[in-house]
Amino acid sequence: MQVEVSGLCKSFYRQTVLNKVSFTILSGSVVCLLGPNGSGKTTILKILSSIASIGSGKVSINGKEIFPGDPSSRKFSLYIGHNASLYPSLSALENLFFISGLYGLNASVDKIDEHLRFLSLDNHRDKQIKFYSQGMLQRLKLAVADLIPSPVLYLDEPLNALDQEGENLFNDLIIEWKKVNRTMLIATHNINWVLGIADRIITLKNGQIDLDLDLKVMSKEDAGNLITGSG
Amino acid sequence: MGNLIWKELINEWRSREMVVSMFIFGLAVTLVFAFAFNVSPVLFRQFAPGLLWVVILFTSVLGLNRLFSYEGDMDAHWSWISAPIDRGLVFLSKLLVGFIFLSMAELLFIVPFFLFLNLDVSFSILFFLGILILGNSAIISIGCLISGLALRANMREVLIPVLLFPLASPVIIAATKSTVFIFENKPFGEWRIWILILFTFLLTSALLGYLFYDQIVEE
Repeated sequence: MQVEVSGLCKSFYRQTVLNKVSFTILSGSVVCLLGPNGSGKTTILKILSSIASIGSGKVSINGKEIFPGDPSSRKFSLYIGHNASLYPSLSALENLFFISGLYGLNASVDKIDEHLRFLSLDNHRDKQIKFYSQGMLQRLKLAVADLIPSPVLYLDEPLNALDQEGENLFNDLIIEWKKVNRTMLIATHNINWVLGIADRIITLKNGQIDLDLDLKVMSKEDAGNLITGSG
Repeated sequence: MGNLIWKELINEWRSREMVVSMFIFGLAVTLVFAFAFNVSPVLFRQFAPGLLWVVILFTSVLGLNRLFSYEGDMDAHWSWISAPIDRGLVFLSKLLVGFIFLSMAELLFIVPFFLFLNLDVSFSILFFLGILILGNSAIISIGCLISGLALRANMREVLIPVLLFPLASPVIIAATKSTVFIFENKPFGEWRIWILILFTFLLTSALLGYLFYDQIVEE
């Protein structure tokens, strides 16, 4: 599904966070958002996933404008935030069961187990997640993204606290998700990782788009130089 | 909706923080009242309805704080805010679960309340239970509306009582008046108006919560 953002503006307490941000994410592509802290990456993801209201501008998925108050606007996308967005007193199994219910899936234990097993969490599935390490929480969030088959996926700092094995599993997941044409918008700080996985890179500076680089028409080396050069 | 209620019940079952703390608090306030007012049981009977609803209101603040504070742990509330569900259902599930937990705690401290304050039970239990159910649901409904507003506020623990007490005061007045009439075994027709006021507040706050929870929880 194609995501179109046009003229997006957002202010918090009279402070402009996003200023006329426009971009299009083609169906099945991986677009990465880069930028320093406070540049507006998380705000974009929150607006697109209807957690935050739209200040002004327009967001549409496959040509259909989304309105945060409309539940049907949220059925095509899944947001995985930098915090777990899961209930600490619930086990991994219970959390996934709850989330799958929110998306009308009501996944079976076997189905949930399958996703937990892929991320090596099946041995900890009945443990309350407040006892999980940061890395395990990050893997659990990826299990959520894998379980809920939303065609559009917004991921905020998915690499945080992941060890090398976790990062490899995540890369495998992205390849799998691309095969089923999932559209992904990923906010991260890891330039090297982005260069290896993204179809397109958008960098933000002070709430505005600084660079918009299509990696299908330019080399990764040039893109890397431009990004590090623009600092 | 069932999924949301199940999550609330599991959370409380694991921690047992809400019902236990509300019960202990209610019991402690009852004891304070029993020792602070050294008056005859006849006089106490006149005070009792007001004291009872003050205890219930104070106790409900503890429950409401807990009912919403764990949503902020790990930003758990984002899971349902970004999900394709009617957010009004989240409000209704909180209302239902908050009502159940407050009623459970109340059932535990209401017996000591009558014992410590030397109150006899010479009134209609059915009417009394009815007013407790109505009063509890109205307080929790207003409380859930406020707590939703305070979901992302830093001073949530302060904000909830500061907003709840004035907004819930008509409910407390109506519930107290009704309880006075029940204790005095007055016919229903004489205090029907207070029940209507309670109903109005319950319906208005529940409807507002259901309809506007979308805007309330959005950033």
